[in-house]
Amino acid sequence: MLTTSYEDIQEDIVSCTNEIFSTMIPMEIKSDGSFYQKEDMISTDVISLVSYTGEHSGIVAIFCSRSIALKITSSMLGIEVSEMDQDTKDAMGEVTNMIAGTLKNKIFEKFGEMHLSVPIVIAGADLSISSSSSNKDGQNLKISSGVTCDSTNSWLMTPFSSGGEAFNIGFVIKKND
Amino acid sequence: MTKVLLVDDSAVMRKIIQRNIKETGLIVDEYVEAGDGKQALEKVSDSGELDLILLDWNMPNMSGIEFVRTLRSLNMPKRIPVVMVTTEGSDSKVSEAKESGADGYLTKPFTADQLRDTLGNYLLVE
Repeated sequence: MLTTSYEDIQEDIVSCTNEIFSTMIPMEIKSDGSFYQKEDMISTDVISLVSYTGEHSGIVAIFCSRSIALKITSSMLGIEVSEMDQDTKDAMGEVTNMIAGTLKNKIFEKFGEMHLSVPIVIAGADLSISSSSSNKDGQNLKISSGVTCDSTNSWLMTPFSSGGEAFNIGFVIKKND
Repeated sequence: MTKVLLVDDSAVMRKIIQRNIKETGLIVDEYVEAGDGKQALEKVSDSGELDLILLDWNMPNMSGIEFVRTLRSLNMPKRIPVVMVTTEGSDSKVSEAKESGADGYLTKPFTADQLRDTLGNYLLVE
């Protein structure tokens, strides 16, 4: 069961993502609720993330398979893309950037002014968010973007599907001390 | 001969903007591309007369806002219009850009109509 504040954010994530796909990526997508997922349970082929810094630090990330990344890139560019090349990583980064930027404007009142990082995209097989840099008491994870998130908080995952394939948009945020 | 400098760290976004400009009937004869503000400053000095600069905000090495501030501090023979094309859409960012010397503002994602309306102030339409 999601908290009230995260329910609002989930609606904002759906709204932002639908707006981006309806204007710049000619591809039909459907959203399907949301759920929480512990960081160490995330396993995926492609991670594309943009971090927020300000009074709060956070991350918006797309977690997806190689095939849906290629599908999104092909739709964006209007040509068939079959390799997980620089263009695909670039496209996924730009989609994440647009989602994070649009979402930032919607959650500004709740979290204050935040700055966006440039996107980071990692592609491979069965990628996970590293927990190897956990400190001794295991409370914090240092994510590759440089944002430290409390590992006791799970990511809010908002799943989308298109043509039988799915991708998740993850969101995590914490107030800085 | 209309020449536009397109500044965005995403090569994919540079392609998409060019395609959308073509599809909306706006006339651009030549594009010069740069991946960050530093490269863009080099292109401004090397590329001859430019008619318009389309500028992303968040880029490595030199951001769009740093670029436009630097550009406006230079003694240029002609004022080149600058339109920000960025995911940064808050009122404070729009104000900051305009105070720094940007002439127009387009927030990503954008529709074809929004692109045509914004860039139509600087480019001819077929």
